[in-house]
Amino acid sequence: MRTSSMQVPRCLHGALIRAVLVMVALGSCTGVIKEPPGRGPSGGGAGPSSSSPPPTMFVPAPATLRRLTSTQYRNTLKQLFGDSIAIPALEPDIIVSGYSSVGASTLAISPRRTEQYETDALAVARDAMSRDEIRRVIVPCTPAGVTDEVCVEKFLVQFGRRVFRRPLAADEIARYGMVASTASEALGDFWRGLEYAISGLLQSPQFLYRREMGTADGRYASGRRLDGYELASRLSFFLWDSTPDDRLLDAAGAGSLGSPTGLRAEAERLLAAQAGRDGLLRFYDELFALAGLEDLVQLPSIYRLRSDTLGASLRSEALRVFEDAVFGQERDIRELVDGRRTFVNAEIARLYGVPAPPGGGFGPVDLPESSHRAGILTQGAFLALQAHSTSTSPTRRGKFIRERLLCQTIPPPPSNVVTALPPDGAGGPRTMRQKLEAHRENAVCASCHSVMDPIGLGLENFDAIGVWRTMDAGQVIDASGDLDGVPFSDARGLARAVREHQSTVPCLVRNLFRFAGGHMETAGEEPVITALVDGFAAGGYRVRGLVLALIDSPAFLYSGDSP
Amino acid sequence: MIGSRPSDSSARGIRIPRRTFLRGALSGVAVGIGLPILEAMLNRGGTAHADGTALPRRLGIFFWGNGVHPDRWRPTTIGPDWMPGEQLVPLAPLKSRVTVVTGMNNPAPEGDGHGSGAAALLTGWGFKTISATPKNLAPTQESIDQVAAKKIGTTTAFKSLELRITRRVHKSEGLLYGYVSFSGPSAPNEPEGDPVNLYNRIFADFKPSPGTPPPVDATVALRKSVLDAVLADIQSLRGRVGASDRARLEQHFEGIRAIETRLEQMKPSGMAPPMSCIPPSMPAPFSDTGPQEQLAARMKVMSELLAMALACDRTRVFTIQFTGSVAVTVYPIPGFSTHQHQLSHEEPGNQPLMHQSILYTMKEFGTLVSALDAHSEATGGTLLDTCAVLATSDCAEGRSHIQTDYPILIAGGARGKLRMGIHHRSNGESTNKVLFSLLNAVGCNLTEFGEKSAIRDISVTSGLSAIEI
Repeated sequence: MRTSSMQVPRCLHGALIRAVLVMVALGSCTGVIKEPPGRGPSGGGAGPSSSSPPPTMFVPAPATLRRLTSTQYRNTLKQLFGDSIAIPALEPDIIVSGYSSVGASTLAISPRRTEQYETDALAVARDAMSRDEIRRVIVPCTPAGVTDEVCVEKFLVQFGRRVFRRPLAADEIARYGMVASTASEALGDFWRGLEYAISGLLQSPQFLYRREMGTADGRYASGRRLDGYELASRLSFFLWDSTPDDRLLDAAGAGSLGSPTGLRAEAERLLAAQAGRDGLLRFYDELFALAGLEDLVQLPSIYRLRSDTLGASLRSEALRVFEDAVFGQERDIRELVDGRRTFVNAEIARLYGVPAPPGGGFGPVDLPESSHRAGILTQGAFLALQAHSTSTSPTRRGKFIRERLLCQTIPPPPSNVVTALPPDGAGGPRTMRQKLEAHRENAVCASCHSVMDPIGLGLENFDAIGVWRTMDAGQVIDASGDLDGVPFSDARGLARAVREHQSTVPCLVRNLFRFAGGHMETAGEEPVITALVDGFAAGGYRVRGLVLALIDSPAFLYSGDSP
Repeated sequence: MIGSRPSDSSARGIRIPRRTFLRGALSGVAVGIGLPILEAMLNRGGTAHADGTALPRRLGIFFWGNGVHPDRWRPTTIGPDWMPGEQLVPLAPLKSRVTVVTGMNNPAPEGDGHGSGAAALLTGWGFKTISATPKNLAPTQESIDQVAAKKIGTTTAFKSLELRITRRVHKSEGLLYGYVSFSGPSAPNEPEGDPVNLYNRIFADFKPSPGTPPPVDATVALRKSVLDAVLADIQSLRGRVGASDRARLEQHFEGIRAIETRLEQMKPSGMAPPMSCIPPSMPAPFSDTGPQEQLAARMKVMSELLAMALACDRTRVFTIQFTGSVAVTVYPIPGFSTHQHQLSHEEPGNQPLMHQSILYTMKEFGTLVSALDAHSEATGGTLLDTCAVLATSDCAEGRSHIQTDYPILIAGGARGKLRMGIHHRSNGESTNKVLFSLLNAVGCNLTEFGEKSAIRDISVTSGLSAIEI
């Protein structure tokens, strides 16, 4: 029965495999769960049956132009002009494969966004050059008159390096110098000349995109090592979600990023700064798609505690827990999955039934041993995002765990199948577990749902905004189940099973790798993923160590040929 | 290619006395700039300009997600003066202006339907799964509005406009669900959902000024000089990147050239705008934050702005994402407490809430049709008579994801090219035939349309003759 397109990890137990076989006989969904290449599920056995094994030699991924994300663009403008600059709105980033960085590396910009870049550049430049306190900081000379080519050039050399993240070439200085002199003459004002030059720099593709060309050094057949400035940008946009500062550019210019110690020193400096948290917080925010919390679909008429601020509070909680685990306590990151540490404000305290912190804002809480809640799967953020607006969705919750936390593939439902769950019947209201039985009665549905629903049902004690409950449709909730052979009786047990699942740690590494690189990992990059996973385990699962190892990896230092 | 233009663009450009030219920064190719039409410039019959060039035709798309209930939506009679099925009742007052096509099938059904349906109905091609996990579905071709824009949108300030009515679009599983308009497989055109932003974009710089031209604004030339420098930077970069990045830079280049086109148009022409062009005042800020969305109110103000943009010839091509593929919109209907996609799958029986939401969507398509029909054209008839507006969805029916018997509405006659007001029942022909008809009705002169690749051949070489004149 087994074909190359059908990959059944042996961690799936008998019932599922039988369902899969039935499903294949029916000729519908193929390849129920597909593990990514490289690491199959544990417990022995074949794992993925892909036709070719992953290569053992690293091959760099093709270079792409990486556009600054909207957040990076805004952060960069603040860094260039100071916090007082009026930051314009830009159309939102497009998430591709889970991350805005992937979208920004693959998609073209729309005509509307090009218009916005022009409007924004003109407005920011106008604002900056009309204010003496900004001019004093970014213009390194006093103009001798309406035109002063020497001063313009000095400015372009210094400020242009910050904008393009490398020294400007002579023709670029000439080009933008010409813009400045034309404008200052036309308008009779030196500063307005610089205003137009700045608006040009801010629209240039050399600013809006990061080019990662590198230079061939013979180490990899199709790879080129990034130069110091390109590495400085990679580092800074990864860790700071913003542009390199002068010190990092100086280090790049001096060649010190060419050595592992020099690069590591700068990476640690960036991580130690407050901005050094921004990049990883952005990663976590996108990993869990937390932005969706800003527009919750759950209705207050059904969920009493669903306020207009609840979603934002839950997003903040989730990020605080991650920040604490990575930068505060520097914990084994797996504790995120089943740990008891969280941060609550008054409304989350109400939601969780714990005392509100004094002072009105957020405060840390260590949930008691007796608490039903433990880890990110029992946070309101996850529970509300992966729910419907009037009910829980064990399917969505299970699907998210499979796809996002375990990096497994679940095929879409087939066409031409009526997917409505049966209504409450004559016997009165039915529990979610009973309703989902319909998925198991139909073999086509069961083939996929049997790997999602049972996991999600482990979280049935939490309603669609994350409030604890014991009853559903008048019956006591049964939250027991098993995750690939590991039985659990409730959400805490599920959390432990996810924490210990063979795919959890490699999947986190894959996700960070995608975010940092702006692309899905290629087959040629699998050796690096494997090494990172091993190093992560050896280091006690500290994210900081993982980040530094990633920066030190050839995937970070090299880029490949682009077709 | 950067720097190239369709070779016949100047021949199609509207000929006007003060025709202006813009030097392409890199190509040196002249760009014809269209200005609003003066009635005096028409020939006696009003069917064309005095010199014989064709009057503008317009193409629009109104897209909603999760389909309809085909058996309840389909008209009960064939031919003219169709009798609406119960879900088409909101469009009954406009039935002489709207043609209904039923019985047509997606020629390349695949996957869960939402993706392949959106790809087929918007692009005429199959879609591509870039990665299964995270799920990432993408189109493989530009959408038909962009096909038309390249042909009929080259002389207007905006080659196309993209509008969005719903706030909630399903964007986590790839471009295909998230967007309606694509300039290419990885070039989605982000729609504007805010009426004030839309107004600013279309009309803030648009000041038709009859009589003596006012003095030229020096900053317009300076902005132009900045854009020239940026284009030079793009040009120097494009030679050093791979093919896919080159395509991205070309899109960027096109966007900048579009700004230059508009800057050129800002030069005072001293000419009166067309009779029906009355630039509107800025709309009130639109705030809508509840779970249920105020779709009708947004649709009304956006439709009016759009109709005026067309009347003023700011654009000739538009798309409206009323709701997205997979529609995760919560309709403002009593009892509608979840998003439509969930409801489409989970509401039991004859789905009374889904039914209400389909009625709602049909009514709002009517809002658009009425807005276009409210503008008289200098040439007689209304703006709607100059348009071909396609309204369709990702699935024929959301509940079952079926890909046969698509709901297809066509409003407007494209200046006598399309039959209005009939119900045509097809016997399972490809939806690509409808797209072929629409594109040629607005002047695309295609001989073949749809995917013809190593993967599949679903191309067609003729349209749906029943709706053509």
